[in-house]
Amino acid sequence: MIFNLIKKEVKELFNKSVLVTILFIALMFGFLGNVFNQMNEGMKQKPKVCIVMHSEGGLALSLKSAMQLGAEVLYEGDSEDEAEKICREKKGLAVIVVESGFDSMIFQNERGGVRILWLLEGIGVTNEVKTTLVTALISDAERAISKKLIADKAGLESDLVLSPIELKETTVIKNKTVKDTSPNTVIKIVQSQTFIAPVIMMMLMIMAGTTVIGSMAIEKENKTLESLLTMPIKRSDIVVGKIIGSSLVGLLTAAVYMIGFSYYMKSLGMSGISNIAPDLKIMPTDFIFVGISFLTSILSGLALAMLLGVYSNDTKSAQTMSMPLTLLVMVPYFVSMMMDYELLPFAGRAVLFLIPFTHPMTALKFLMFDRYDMVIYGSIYSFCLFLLLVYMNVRIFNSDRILTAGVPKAGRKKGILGLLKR
Amino acid sequence: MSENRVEVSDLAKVYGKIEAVAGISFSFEKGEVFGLIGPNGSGKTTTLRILSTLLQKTSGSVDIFGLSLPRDGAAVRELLSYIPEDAGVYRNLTGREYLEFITEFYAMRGNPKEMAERGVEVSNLKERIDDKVDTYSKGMIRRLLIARSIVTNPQLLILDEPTSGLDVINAKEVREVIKRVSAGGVAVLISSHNMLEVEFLCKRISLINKGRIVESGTPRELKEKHNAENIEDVFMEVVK
Repeated sequence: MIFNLIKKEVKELFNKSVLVTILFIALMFGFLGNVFNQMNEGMKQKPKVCIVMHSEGGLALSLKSAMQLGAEVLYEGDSEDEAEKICREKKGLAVIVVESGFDSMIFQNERGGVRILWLLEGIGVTNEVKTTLVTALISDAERAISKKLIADKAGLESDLVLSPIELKETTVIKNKTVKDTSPNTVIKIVQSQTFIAPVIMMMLMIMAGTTVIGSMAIEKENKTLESLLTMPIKRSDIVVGKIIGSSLVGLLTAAVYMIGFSYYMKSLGMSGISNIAPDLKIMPTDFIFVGISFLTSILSGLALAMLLGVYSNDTKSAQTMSMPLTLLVMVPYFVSMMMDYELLPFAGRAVLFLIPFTHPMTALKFLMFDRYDMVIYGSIYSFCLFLLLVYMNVRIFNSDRILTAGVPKAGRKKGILGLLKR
Repeated sequence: MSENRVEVSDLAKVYGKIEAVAGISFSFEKGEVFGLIGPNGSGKTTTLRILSTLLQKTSGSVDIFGLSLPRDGAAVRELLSYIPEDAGVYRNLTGREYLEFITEFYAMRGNPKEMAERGVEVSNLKERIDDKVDTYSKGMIRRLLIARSIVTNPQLLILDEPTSGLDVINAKEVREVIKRVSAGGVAVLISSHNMLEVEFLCKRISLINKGRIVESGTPRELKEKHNAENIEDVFMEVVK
């Protein structure tokens, strides 16, 4: 008896669409795992640095030793230009310059100067970890110098003994140079201004996408769609009307969230952080590009949701069909939070580019570094995808599949204009 | 092809290996109520959906007032009103809002506002017309749907099981409305498995079973031919 019930439950819950969803989810998790694995591999490698020694005193050499121990030294010498050139060529992380008279300054009760030119290729956990590692090596060297000064009983001021190095940091991130700022502060500035876009996009698509899929299922269940399809309305109007209506609500929601977020940031005192690096400030005009990116992405996302909705005959199947959409949002969300799009391998970038939700999630970061081209390409792609998905939806609405959600009929090859004219 | 007739000839519809409709032919004209009568799964709804431009035929021909399907689908949709079996309405709208929403699509047939107002009268929902449809009974929803289909001035009215699930009073009201509409020159095609109902409503009927028409004629002709008291007995006789 019980086996009969179990068999019924399994049959009811495990259908073709569930199987496709499971396979899709497994595939996406595989992709995510691969991306994170590469990130881990990157973190395991020693950070690459170049050392320029303008001082060869014993204390200065402690710093050099610490670097040799914990980092891969690409260059050792006294030419800053040469060091920077090599560092850029070999994708080094920092050029560490020990200024002349390092030891003598310290023995004169002044802190020894060290300049660091950070060369960050992007914002991501890997870069964050590696810069922290180099900073930790400098701290180790500083501790070693302190110990030496205490052991030698040099008779220096206690503050100097505890902190003998004066660090001057310049961070070059992509094409922007931020003077007197550590890379971690720069990363914080970038993240504080950009983290909201992925959050809004994720919330929005999950909310609006599931609503569209659910509404299609309800329309089919209540047969309101059946009635609508027999009225003198173009099928393309039904499709576009549904998508644009939902998109406008989605866009309005995004705008409200954005405004709410800006107030939230102000309340946390985060709005002033970008004053440290005015070059990294997002300009008001940039929000036009962000808006376009959001709009095109929402349009294509909801067109995709509608396509999934066509295959949902009831609210139960609508829940199942929402899963692939949710996952498509989650993948770029996690990746954009953890990694820099531009630092991903080509395959990873290609897969993410194909997901329309990636573009608004990365738009603010791109705009911050004047990569308008990427935002424009992303928006163009999302809009083209929207047109393609509308075309597919209209084809389905013009066929039996809208009611039967069955196998496509052969031999119906009509142009997009012909379909839209119907 | 006639501009006053609906002509269906050798119509077939196949879903994969299932032959839902297997070459049926019938015709009816404006001012006539024609009934497709048969049990569940006999092919009635599929036929009605093809005529309503929802499904595409596998073979055969469908001509509606001189227009051919599927070629003239858009033009046919301008002439017809279709109510599916157990059709629902948008539940977040009031009855009046629903009528206003629907009649907007029929501006080519008349003034949408006037149509909506007439819909309020025809539905006879009185003060409940301004309540959310969510609060309506099945009978009230059916009356609202029938009202919207009539006031948009169709030339062809297609009703799938128009009184299914309704109580005696509501069913009677709906049947009377259908008769009135037909008398006004509208061609009405109904499907039903209620054989007593079609005797009252239809001028001519076709009995359909397993996708094939097994008998056609006026209810009286069929009863006389098969020496039966009602259409139910005729049907049992022909499918034996």
